[in-house]
Amino acid sequence: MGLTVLSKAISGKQDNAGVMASRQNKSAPRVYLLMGSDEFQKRMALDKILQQLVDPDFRDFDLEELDGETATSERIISGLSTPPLGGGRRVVLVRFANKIDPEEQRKLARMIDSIPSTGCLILVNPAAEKSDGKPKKGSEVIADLSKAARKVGEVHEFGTGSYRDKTERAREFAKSQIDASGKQISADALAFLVQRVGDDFAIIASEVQKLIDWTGDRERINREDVEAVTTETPEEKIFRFLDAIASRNTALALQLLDNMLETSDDIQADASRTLAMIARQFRLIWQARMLLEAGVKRLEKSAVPKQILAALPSESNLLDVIERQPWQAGKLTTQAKSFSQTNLRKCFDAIARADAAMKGIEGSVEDPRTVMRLLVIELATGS
Amino acid sequence: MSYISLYRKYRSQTFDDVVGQDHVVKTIRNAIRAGHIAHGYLFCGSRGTGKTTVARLIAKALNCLESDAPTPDPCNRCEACLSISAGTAVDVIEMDAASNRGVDDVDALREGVKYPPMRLRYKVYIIDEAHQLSPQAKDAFLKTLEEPPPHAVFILATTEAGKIPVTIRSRCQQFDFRRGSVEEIKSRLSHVAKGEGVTIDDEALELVARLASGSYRDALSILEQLIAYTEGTISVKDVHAVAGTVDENVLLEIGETLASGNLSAAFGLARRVVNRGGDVRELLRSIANHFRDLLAIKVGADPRRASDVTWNAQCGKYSQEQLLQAIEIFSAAEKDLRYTEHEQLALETAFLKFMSGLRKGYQVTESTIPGRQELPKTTQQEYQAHVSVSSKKSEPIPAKVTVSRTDYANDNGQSLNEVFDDYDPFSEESIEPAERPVQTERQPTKPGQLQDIQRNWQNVLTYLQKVMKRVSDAAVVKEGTPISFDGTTVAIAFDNKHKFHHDRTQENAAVIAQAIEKVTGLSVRVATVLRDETQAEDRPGPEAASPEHPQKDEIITMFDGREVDPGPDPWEEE
Repeated sequence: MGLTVLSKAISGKQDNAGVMASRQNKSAPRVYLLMGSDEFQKRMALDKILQQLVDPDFRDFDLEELDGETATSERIISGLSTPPLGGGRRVVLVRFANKIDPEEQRKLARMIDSIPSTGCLILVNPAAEKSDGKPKKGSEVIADLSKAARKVGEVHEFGTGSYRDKTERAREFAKSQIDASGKQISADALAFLVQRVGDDFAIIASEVQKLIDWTGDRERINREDVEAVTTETPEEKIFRFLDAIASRNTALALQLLDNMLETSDDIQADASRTLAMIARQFRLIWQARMLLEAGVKRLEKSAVPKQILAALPSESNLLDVIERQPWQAGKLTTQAKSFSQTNLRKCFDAIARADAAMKGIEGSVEDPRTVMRLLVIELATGS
Repeated sequence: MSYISLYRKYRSQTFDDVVGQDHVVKTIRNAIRAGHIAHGYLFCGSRGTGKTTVARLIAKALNCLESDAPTPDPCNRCEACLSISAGTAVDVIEMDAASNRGVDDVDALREGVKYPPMRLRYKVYIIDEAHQLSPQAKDAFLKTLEEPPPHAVFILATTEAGKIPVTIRSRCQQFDFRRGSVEEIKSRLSHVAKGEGVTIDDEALELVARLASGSYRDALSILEQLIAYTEGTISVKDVHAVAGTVDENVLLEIGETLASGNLSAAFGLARRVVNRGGDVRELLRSIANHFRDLLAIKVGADPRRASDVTWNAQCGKYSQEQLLQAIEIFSAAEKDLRYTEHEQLALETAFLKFMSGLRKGYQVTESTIPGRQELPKTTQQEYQAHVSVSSKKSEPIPAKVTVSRTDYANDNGQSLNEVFDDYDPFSEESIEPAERPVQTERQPTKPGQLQDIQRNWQNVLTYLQKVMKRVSDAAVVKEGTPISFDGTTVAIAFDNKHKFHHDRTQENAAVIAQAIEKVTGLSVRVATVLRDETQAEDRPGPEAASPEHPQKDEIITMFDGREVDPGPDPWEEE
């Protein structure tokens, strides 16, 4: 079963005949390694693979589940060597494959070619823990095993890819879920849904289900429905808030600030977090402003001269942020145009003072809510 | 029969009763009708918004015995519904994660989940304050949530969705509970008041709804206190009395009085509020909030109040800058109450600071008494004149001091110093100080008092270290030296290079004055001054710093006396 087949399987497009054919196809992959951060996609893929490989009537005999903590190479190979009782294949499923002892993983890699065509090994790796953007040691299967698995089978990583790819996949998935319910969604609402809930398939599935239930007998799902039912992300909240500041809409900015802080049970912590997000955003706006003044036409790495690239900060680097989230480019450009360098300097000064005030270092107002309100007024009105 | 709180007594028993959460209720009812029952729900929202109430309604909807299957309209009559309402259903397990937050607690839960319900259709686990589970407990719980048995439904309630790991969130259907609007809470309060046979006027309802900040539970709790406090009829005055809040009209009056510049009237108002048993801290907080509200109107963030003629008119009397300064001053005064026993004095000082700033238009937040270079020139000249009178001969106060309390003058032409001298905040007569004869003569300086202060300065500093919240606040005072005392005000001088120390000391003037009083028994006010380093080098020692009495010559003439050298102070330690 190649990638296309698997993706068909995940999206539920494969028919029963296809399933039967896959189950009896002895030349199908002998190993699947499923990894990546999106557990929902991984689960769906696993369900589909099992559906295709294991005869449901003989599931208790032909499917052996092991935990990586206790699995050994010998036990795995022995399980796979047992002939299936049903019409499908004999499957050994190892969850938490990264927990298999490294030495055992090496042995398994060497023995992987000996898996008979009647057997299939499925290794499931949980989302890798990361440090500095790289997977931590021990949170993924070792490279030898991964290579060996690729040689006789397939390796699928879920939840990876560029922002555009992930968004596109999320959009397709949401649409397929809505289509399957017999409802329709406007393009605007679909785009808004994906922007709001992100690209995690589990969350998309849950939010789509809420939309389906919310609309009841009504067939069409509109943007208002998405606004009413789905959960607004913290990023979305902070962007609306900053847009209001950038557009000098003090009233709206204050209202949004109150909304952000009203549900807080730890006002000090939440106000500090909001302040940090404001500071980060102003750092991005400042970089965007510098680039625009330097004549950079597009906020992309390829469009920026090397000497300017080198001058940009390593932390909260604007171009890195835009590479991950391209939709920020337009917003930041607009926001950058609404602040002069002088304005920005004043804003940074105001943010620093607010920070000091909340820490009790400067000024007389310590109440975080008041500090934040005064800051918003200062940022939005320039007073 | 034991007493049941209003919140429990009037807890919604049907989905139709739930107020302000249509997006949750409609979705869940439709889902139940369609058989879309999730194994995990995550209810997020601040306290008192109905999370647990809806969780119990789901438990009823899933288990109502009047219906063969889960129903969006539980009957509230069957054994299942009644036992869930009473909290006695064995298959509806409520767990407070704040007090059962460990792995063991979750393990016990996981063990219990395996077994099918004893009497009901579903086992429903309601886990309140789910964010309080320990990280290990969250991990353990995740395993149950990954593959829950078909008979189990988990409902997690939290006030802090951000603290729930995404791995748990992605396995639950998340619903955000909104805070109630003022109108929604008013409607609920009105319903409950009617049920309790209590009359409550609209103004009082509105105030209670606002005080509740979106929490239905808080609103009912206040109502409960009001019912206990009154005898069947609740007015807005009762709400202020019970909640300890300040009447909006009083705040508007204070706002008007401060804008008019009538200090006497402002003091009178303060006195009235305090004499009626009002809490000064609450009053200061309310005044700061009042100015914050005015600021919100000013920037267009409060259209409701902006349409009110009184509010709008008062807003027009202040500039945005002045409103910001008012918030700073009254917030600072509230903060400084920690250090003072004379709460009323703190309130009056805040009035003075703000009003003197209004009159002169300078940065009142930076300095009311001493020190800002950007003061109007005339003010500096006034101060120079004042200094030249009080320190004609020995000139203990350097010439470069830049500001004086004489910059203030009230309606009777009194300077700030004179107002201070006149006003005894603990005297009944001072309720209307404007009616008192203007006292123009200064109290004579008592010889030796400056020496007392200087001699005890180290003790004052030690005392400050004990009473000041931040050690650094006490430390900065060490850079200052008391250099003059005119019978009312002790001037503490700092070198120009210690501007920071000067500013911090100035902010804590009230506390330092108290410390001096505690140590020396002298009731003083404290002013801070900055001086040139060159002059600092010539800084006179404690002995030399003693100012000569401005009326010395007059006294010598009057008593036919002569000036003698007092010699070394016998009390001075070697």
